[in-house]
Amino acid sequence: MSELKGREQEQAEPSWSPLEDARVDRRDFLKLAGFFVGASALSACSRGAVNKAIPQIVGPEELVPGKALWYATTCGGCSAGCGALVKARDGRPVKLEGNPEHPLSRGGLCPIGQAAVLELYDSKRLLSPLLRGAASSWQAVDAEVAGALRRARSGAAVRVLTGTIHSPSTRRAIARLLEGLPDAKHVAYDALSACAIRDAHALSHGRRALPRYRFEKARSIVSLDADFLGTWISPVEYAAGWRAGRVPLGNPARMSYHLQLESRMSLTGANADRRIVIPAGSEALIAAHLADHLARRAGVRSPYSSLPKPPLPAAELASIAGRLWAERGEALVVSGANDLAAQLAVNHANELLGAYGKTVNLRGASQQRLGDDVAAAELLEELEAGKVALLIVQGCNPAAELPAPGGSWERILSRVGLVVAVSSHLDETASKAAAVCPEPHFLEAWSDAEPTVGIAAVAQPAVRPAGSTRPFVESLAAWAGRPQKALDQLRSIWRQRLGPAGFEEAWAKVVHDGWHASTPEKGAGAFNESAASSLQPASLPDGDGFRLVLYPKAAMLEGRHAQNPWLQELPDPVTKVVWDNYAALSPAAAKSLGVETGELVRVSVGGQTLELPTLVQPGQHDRAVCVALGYGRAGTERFHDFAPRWISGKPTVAKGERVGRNASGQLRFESGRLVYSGLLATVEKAGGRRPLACAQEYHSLALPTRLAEKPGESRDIVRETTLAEYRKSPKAGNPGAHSAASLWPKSLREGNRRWAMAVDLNLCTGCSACVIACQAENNIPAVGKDEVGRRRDLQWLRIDRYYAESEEGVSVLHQPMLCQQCGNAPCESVCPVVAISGSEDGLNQQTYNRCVGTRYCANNCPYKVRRFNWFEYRKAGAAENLALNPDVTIRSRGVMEKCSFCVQRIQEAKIEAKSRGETLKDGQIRPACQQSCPTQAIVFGDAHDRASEVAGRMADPRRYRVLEELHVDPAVGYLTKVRNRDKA
Amino acid sequence: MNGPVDYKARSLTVALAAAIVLSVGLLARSAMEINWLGNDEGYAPKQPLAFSHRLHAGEMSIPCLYCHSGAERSKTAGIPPLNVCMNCHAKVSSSFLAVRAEAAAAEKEKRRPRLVVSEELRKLYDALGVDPEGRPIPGKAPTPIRWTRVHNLPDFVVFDHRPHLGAGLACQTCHGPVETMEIMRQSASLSMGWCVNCHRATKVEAPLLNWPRKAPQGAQHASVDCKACHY
Repeated sequence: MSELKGREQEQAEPSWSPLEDARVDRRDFLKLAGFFVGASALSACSRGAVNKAIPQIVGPEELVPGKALWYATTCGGCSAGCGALVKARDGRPVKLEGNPEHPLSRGGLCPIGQAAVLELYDSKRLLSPLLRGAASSWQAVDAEVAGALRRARSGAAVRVLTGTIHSPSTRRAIARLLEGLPDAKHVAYDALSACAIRDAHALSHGRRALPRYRFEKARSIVSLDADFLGTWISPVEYAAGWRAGRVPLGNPARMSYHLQLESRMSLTGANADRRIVIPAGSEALIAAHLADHLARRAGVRSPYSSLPKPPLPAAELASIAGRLWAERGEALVVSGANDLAAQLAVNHANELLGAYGKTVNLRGASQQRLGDDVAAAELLEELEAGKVALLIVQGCNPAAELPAPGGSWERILSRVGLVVAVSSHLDETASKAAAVCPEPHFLEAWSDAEPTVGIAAVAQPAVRPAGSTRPFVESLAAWAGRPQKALDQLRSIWRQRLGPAGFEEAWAKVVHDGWHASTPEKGAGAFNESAASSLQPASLPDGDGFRLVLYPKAAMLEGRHAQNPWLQELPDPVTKVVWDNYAALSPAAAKSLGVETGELVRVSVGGQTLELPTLVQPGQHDRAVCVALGYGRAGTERFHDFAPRWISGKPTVAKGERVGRNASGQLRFESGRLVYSGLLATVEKAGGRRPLACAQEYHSLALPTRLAEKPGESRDIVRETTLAEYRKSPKAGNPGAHSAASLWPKSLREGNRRWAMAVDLNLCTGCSACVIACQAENNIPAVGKDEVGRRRDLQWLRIDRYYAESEEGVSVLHQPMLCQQCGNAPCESVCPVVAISGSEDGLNQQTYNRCVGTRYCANNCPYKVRRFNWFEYRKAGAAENLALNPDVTIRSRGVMEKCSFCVQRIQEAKIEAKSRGETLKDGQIRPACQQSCPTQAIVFGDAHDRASEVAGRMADPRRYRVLEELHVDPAVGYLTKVRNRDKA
Repeated sequence: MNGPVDYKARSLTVALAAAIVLSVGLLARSAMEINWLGNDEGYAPKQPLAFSHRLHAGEMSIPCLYCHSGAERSKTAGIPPLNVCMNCHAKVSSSFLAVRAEAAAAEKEKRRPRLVVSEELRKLYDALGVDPEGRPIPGKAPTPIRWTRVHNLPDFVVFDHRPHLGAGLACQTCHGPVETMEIMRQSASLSMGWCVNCHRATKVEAPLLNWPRKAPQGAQHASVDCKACHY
C-alpha cells in the first residue's frame, strides 16, 4: 500500500510537461484527447448507410421494378403435380400459390408446395457437379458416363432408378438413352408406394393403372387407412374434391358420409364423420368382408369362400355395407394399404358399388404414383449381386428410403461399376455415388408433367438458374449423345401433343395457363371377377405384440424436404410436434410400458432397432406403434446452428446429429411390395428422454381450473354438432354468446368497411397449408426446436387441435387461430406507446417501428395470437434471406407481431382498383391463407357489404365467434362443425 | 530539468497532441455534412455520372414520367434502365455547342467533322458496352451504373407512388424543384410528421378513397391510419 502511494506522488509531479504553462495537467489532457477522438469518431458515423440504386442495363418490357409478376407453373414438391402460380418480384420468386384454374388442384397448394420457394435459396444446395467427392465439370462427368455406356453396349447392365416420373419429356429422354442398349432398364419406385393399387387393377381390370379418385362425386366414402386429406397420393386434389359434400345443404340438410377405418390417428381420420380403430395390417381382411357383404346385398355370389373372423363386429360391417349400398354409384372405397389382397378386395367392393367410371376413373388414370415395388426389389437383388455396371439415380434417395439387402447401402453401391446421382443435395445416395449431377430447382428450369392421363402441364422457369446445374433431361440427352436444351425437348414433344398447326399460339397458351387438357384415350378394362378374388386375405396373426405402422407426415412425406426449416417447424396437424419423429403409442399402451411422452422406447422389427421418444396419442389402436418416415435424413445436421444463440439456448440437434431417426430400415418387402403397416414389432422402455417440442400445450385458450366457476367448466371454443341435431335446428351446437354486460360502450369499428374472415370448420381439415402460406407471405422465420419448446414460435396463424372423447371414440377438431382483429381490441388498450391502433376499415394495426416490446398486448390477448421477436432471426448474408417478401417489413428483435389480414394485399388491391378508377369487388383481396386453402375453408371480405361471401357466411346460423362473451367484437367468425352422425 | 527524459511519456504526448489536431480537422470536415437523426434534408451525394435534372427536366422539359415511368405502375418510380437513355443518346452524344464548335473546326481544317462524345456520356456508352451510335462493341460486357440513392425511407415504411400520382400530386410536391437541380438533392425532410401533415391537410375527391357505400360528400383527407404506410 505504501509503495503504491509513493508511486502516485512521484507521478503527480511531472516537471517535463510541455503543457505546463497552459495549466492543463495530464488528466485534463487525456480527457480532452478522449473527447476529441470520441467526438470525431461519432461524427463520422452521423449519416446512415449510403444506399445504391442500380437500374437494369436494358429493362425487359414487362418488368417494372417493385411490381410483382405472376407466372403459371407446376409444383415439383412431390409427384402430385399441382398447378401453381409463382410470384416474382424484380426477377426473384418469393411466393408460390395454387393455380385456381388448374383442373386437379383447383387453387389449393399444400405446405410442401408453399415451402418449396425457400429451397430455391437453400445455401447448401449443390450448384455444380461432383466427381468422386471433388468439384468437377460437366465435361468430366459426361466423359465418365460415356465410358460406362460404351461398356454397356457390349452387354453390361444399365439401370435408371427414379421416383415417379410423369413428365412426358423426361420419360422420352430416358427411353432415348436406353434404346439400343442390350441390358438397360428404367425402374421407378415410390418411397410411399401405391404399387398394390396398380397391380390389383392389372389383375382385376386388365390395366396396370392407378385410378383417378373423384371424391367430389362420392356421397359415401369409406377409407381403409388412406390418409387422402393429408399425405396419400394427391392430397390437394382429393381435399378439393372431398370438400364438395361437406357443407350441409338442402332441406333436410344433406352431407356426404366419410368413414375412416385406421389404426393410427391420421389427419383424414380426424376429419371423418366416423372413425373406427382397427388393428394395423387388418385392412385386407376388412376390405374382403366389406366386399363379401356388398356381394350379398347385390345378390351375387360372394367372391370369397371362407373368410377368417373380422376384427370388428359383423353387424358393424353389415351396417357399413348397407350405407355404401344405399348410395351405390355415388360411393367410394379407398385403401392406403400397399397390400395386393386389400386392394383387390377394394376393387371388388367398388365394382359392386358401381363406382368405376363414376367415383373411380381408370379413364384419365392418375400417374402420380408409377413406382413398381417388384421391379425395385429385383433391382436391389441385382445390385447386391454386383450385376449392374451403370446406375443412374434421380428424384429419389434409395439409400435413405429403401431397406438395403444385407443392411448396408455402402456395400451394395460399391458393387456397381458407376453410380451417378442426380440430386440437389449430398444426400445418403449422392454421398455414395461416384458422380453427382445437381439439377436446378423446379422454379429455375423448363419441365412438364402429366399427373393424370390427359391433363398435362408445363412448368416455366421464373428465375435464372444459380450455379452450373443441368436439368435431368439435358443430362440424359447429353449422355445419349444428342445434347438438346430442355426447352427444345419440351417443345418437340408438345408439338406432337398440340399438333403442328397453330403450335406457337397453342404453346403460348399452355405456358400462360400452366396446363392443358385433352381427351384421355382408351376406356377402362372389363372387370375380371375370378382374378379379383384370386387372393384370399390372410387371417390376423394371434398374439398381442405391437404392430408397427410407418407413415408419412403431412409436411415431411418421404423426407425429400427434410432440409427445409419451415417444414420441419410446421406442427404435425394431429400431434402438433415439431422438429422430430417419435413412436406414437396409445395412452393404454404407454401406460402398460410405463412410459410418458418424451421418454425413449426401443422399437425393434426383425433385428432392426430404433430408439425414439414416446408420444402418447389418443385415438390410436392399443397395439399399434406408429413412426413417421422421412426423418433422420443426411443434411439435417445443418440445423445444429439454426436456432438463435444465447446463454440458455439449446441447439435444435446435437452436433453431428440429424433431425429425428430414419425408420426406413424397418420397411420390408413382402411378396415384392413394400409393407408399411402391420409388421410385428417389440417395443420396450429404453430409459432416458428426448424432449419433444409440441406447439399445442401452450397458447391455450382453455380456462385454468382455478378460475372455472363450476368444476370442469370449459369454454366452447370449438363447436361441433351432428347432422341429426343440425336438421332439427341449424343453430345446434351453437348456443350463442353469453349476454353479460360489456365494459365496452360499443364496437369501435363503425367505419365504412370492416374486413372480416369466416372459417368453416366443416371444411377445414387442419392440413396446415395456410400456416406455411402465411409464413412465406409475411416473412415469418422458423425459430428452432428449443425456441418452440419455450413457446416462442412465430407463426402468425396456428391450427389448434382439440380432442373430444365420446362413446364414438376420440374425435379431433381443428381450428385455425389467428389475430381476430377485434373491434374492441384488448391489446390496444394496454399498449403504453400506442403501437397498436384500429384502422378505419376495422383492422387492428401493429406498428412495428413504434413497438418497444413491453409484451403487455400479448398478455392481454384472449386468443394468444401475438408473437414476440426474442431474437434477430435472419442471418446476415444468408442466401435464404432472398426468399423474403419485399412487400412486408422484416421485424427486428424486441418487436411484437401478429396476423395483419395480409394488409399488404389489401393495400395493393385498393391502390390497383383506385388507379383503374374502380371500386374493390368482393373476392379481389385474398389473404395468403385463403388463397392456398385446398378446401376453401377460409373466406375473407368486407362484412359490411351484404352481398359479400363473408357476410353470407357471417349470417349462417352455424356462425359463432370465439370467446364472444368477452365483447371484444372479433372480426373472425367460425362455422360450427357438423359431423354426419346420428349421435354425438 | 532533473532526472532522465521519459521518452515514452513524451512520445505519448506527441501522439495525443497529433490526435487532437487530427480530430479537430475531422470534426470540422464532418460538421459540414452532419445530418441529424432521421433527417436527410438537403442530401445531395455525388453521383457516378453527372446527370443534370436541370438540363433534362428543366431546359429540355422532358416529363418526369418519361424516365421514371414506374411511378404510375408500381410502388417505386424507378431509375430508368440505360436503354431509356439511349432513346435520345443514340443520336445525341454531346452538347449542341460542342458539336457546333467541332463543325466549325472541321470546316476550317477542310475535313469531315468528327463525332464528339462528352465525358459523361462516354460513361453511359461504356456502361452499356456500346459505341456512341448504339452498336454493341464485341467483347465488352455491360456494367450497370451504381447511382447513389437520394431519397431513402426506413425499411419499415411502405411508400407507394401510385396513389399519390392518382391524387393529382405534382412530383415537385415531395421532390422539390427538380427541374432546377444540377445535382439531385433531397428537398423535403421526408419525416413522418411531414407525411402526416400533408395527409391531414390535403383533400382529395371522395371517389378516390374507394368507399363502397355512404360515400362521404365532397373532398376527404387522405388516410392517417398507421397501416397506410407501416406493414
